[in-house]
Amino acid sequence: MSENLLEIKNLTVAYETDLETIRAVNNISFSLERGSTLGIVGETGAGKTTTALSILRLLPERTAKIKSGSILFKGENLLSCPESRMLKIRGARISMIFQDPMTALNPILTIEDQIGETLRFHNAENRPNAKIAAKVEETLEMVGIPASRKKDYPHQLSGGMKQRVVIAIALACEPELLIADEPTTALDVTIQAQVLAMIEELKTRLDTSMIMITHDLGVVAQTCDDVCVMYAGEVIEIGSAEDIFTAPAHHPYTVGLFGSLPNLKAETARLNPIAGLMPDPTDLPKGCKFSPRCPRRMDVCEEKEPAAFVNGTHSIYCHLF
Amino acid sequence: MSDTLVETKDLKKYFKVPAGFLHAVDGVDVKIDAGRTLGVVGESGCGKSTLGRTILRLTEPTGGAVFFEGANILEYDKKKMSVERCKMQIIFQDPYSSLNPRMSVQELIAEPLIVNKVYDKKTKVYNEVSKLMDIVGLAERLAGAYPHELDGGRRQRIGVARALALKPKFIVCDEPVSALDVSIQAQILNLLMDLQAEMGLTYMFITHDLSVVKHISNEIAVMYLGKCVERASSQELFTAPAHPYTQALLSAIPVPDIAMRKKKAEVLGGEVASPVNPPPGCRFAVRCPRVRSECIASDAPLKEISPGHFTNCILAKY
Amino acid sequence: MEIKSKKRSKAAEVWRRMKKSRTAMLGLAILVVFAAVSTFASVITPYKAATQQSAKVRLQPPSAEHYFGTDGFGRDVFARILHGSRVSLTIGLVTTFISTLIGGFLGSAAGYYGGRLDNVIMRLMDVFMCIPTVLLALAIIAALGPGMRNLLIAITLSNIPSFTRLVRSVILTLVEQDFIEAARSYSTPDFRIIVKYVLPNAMGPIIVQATMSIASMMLLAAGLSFIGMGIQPPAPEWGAMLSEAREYMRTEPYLLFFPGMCILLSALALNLVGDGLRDALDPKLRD
Repeated sequence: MSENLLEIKNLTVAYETDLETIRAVNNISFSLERGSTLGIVGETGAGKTTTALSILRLLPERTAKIKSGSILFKGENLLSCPESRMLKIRGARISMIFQDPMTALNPILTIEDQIGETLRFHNAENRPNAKIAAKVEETLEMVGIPASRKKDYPHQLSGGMKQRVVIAIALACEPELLIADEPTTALDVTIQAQVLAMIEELKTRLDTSMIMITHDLGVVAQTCDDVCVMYAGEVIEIGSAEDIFTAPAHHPYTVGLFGSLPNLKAETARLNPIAGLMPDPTDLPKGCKFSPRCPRRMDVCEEKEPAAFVNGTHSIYCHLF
Repeated sequence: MSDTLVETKDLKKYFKVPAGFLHAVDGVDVKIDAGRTLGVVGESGCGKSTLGRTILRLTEPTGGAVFFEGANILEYDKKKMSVERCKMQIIFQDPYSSLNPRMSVQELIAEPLIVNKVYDKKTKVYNEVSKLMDIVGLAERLAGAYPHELDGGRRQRIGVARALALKPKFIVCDEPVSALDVSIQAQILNLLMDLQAEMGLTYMFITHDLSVVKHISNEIAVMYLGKCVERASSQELFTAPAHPYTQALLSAIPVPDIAMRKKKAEVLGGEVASPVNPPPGCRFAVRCPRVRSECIASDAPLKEISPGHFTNCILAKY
Repeated sequence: MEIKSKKRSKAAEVWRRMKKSRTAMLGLAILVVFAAVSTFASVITPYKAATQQSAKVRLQPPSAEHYFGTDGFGRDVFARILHGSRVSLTIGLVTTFISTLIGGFLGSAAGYYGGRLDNVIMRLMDVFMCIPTVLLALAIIAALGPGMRNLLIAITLSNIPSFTRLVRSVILTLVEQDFIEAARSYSTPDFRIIVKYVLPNAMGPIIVQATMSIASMMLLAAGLSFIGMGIQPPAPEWGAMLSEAREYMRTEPYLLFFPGMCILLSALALNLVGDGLRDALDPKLRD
């Protein structure tokens, strides 16, 4: 087994205000091998984005509290390192692509300035400006934008082009870990296909590992090596892509997610959605968080949190197994 | 064969912009039979939402005709139209901005009934409202709640109930599930299909999601830059797409099946061109992998290549 | 099961929520005191006391006989404050109310219909806005002649453009929303759309602007009174009293203090009530 680039252990994050405590992430653990892609799947409120922001230490300081756990990046615990150290890591060794390319770019700076800014900030070798300008052009060409457009402002670009610029900024310093938070949700299918193909190619070329956060199982199937399914702030199933997509045994929630998707191949009369709604994160149910919606609920589910059922690389957190 | 309920002929909607005219809908012919669902797919900016709104005359078309139950509704005056519009309703994409935040759930659903003076007594209105809430699966206790207190799925149920209030025959569903999570999306899709079966509704289902459109539609129209480039039964369209754009769309869908991964689909290059003052010829020509000189010469009309299957691609064979 | 109509309880609901805000209740209490005082001013102290001049009791500090002291003409400041409250509060409330109404109407028409109507209304407002408020009010009074009624007209007119602008800008963002289009999809008449859909959602900024403008209207009236274009002396008015007191600022600061405090307190109270009302009207902030 190759070394782990990132290892999250028992991470718990809550947003605390005077009125309520939102338990966004509850005791999750997973790891990411160098060079591979981990998909984090789940619906709104599953805690996907909170997990990503914890890795980069970008949670809103006033309300978000990391209750426990550790995030080891190449053996270094990111949760205990000082902000000055984080500044060196963020953008250079770990970077992030945000969901909405329309708002992720500064509208009054040219794309050249915005890509150059990251390079200038993380300028360890003291490169002169000319070198940086050359690097900006190289990065733009790499994401498929002609260097002649470097003087453009974001509003002059289409949605797909903007997302390419966002990716260029994220990859400019050739980070070891790229976190992509729903990178293609705002894009059209044909553009999504272009962007996904590009990310895939650049990932191999720059030897970057990736965490792909999405709600789209199709995107996961096409891009990820490992998959982690989250529900109500917990990891409920984790394994290799083969485990999640082809293994016979699954967590009932994963089964429900697949049942909700209209199938392109088979003709289905009705979908089989999961009944009910996401639980209230300020008042999570006891025992298994999915138990109130689960079609295969047993008495034990409402009392005890399920332990992992491990089968090789595949773990399921459910009492059924 | 059932009767045609809605039909458009050469429907056009141009918007004036500083650079000229934006051809949002540029000569679209569609036909929907009573009790059936026409899916309209396309990428953002292809004019699919404008098409839906133009059919309901929420925006006035620039040219063409819309026939509803055989009569051209574009000739109706304002008064006649406001009566006729009760038979044609719309469900919006965004369940957040499509509900007046200052109205409670029951006020929202009652509004079409009050405005159109369907009942003479308030109690009758509110009895009808509680019936509608029951139909769309909203619990009675939510009657006094405000939209912001509810989740996206419940809000969209309000939107459905509101559209049903006037007992319409035809409903335009403008991306009704795009803003929802998959499990909630499936609940709403099931609801819409059940309602259609029970009430004999006719839908025009606008979406960018091909797997959703296949699931719900009998017939599908594919739009690109204001033009309908292909129209066929949903079975036919998915098994034998004729237009290169449809083919590209189908191959671009990420399939939740890892067996498909090895087979790298050919990715369509380029970007959607501007719909402002488009040049003549096939709108897709600049991105088309099979483009020929004839393609950019002049507009090609839709032609029937097999029974019920229309496309405007000149390369498609009979 | 029959659902009971909720219409009746809506005002009660707003009141119930407003009661929860302590600051709004404090503001309301101050307003009630002012309103009571101005209503019963003649009962507490006769009007004559407010205008009667006496050289013997000039510039006396507050005492048991003259609670707030006397001014440069020997008039009782307490009586002047009491009787002045009628004038000042009327000016503030009436002008704001009418200009909000007219400005709201013009602004919604301009914002909702757009196009040519919008252009005509807004260019007209631009013309008014080019002229400084005081100058505009002065010109109107110069044309109509001084007096309470003309003062009200002048202040109201000069306040309309800013309201029109505010309401229009709020409405422009609202008409883009889908729920307006939804209302049109079931043939809601324009008037009902404006009254039931647009204005309730525009209430927040309008109420804030209105409560703030009451205080500034009172000050504008004071300024006009000071240069002899507003309330004619010796009639009492807070703003005018403040202006007169400037001469004695160093030696008799209490002359400045009492009318100033009254203006400040009423403005503060109105703002507190306005904030409370805005929050109580917004279902999103409901407990």
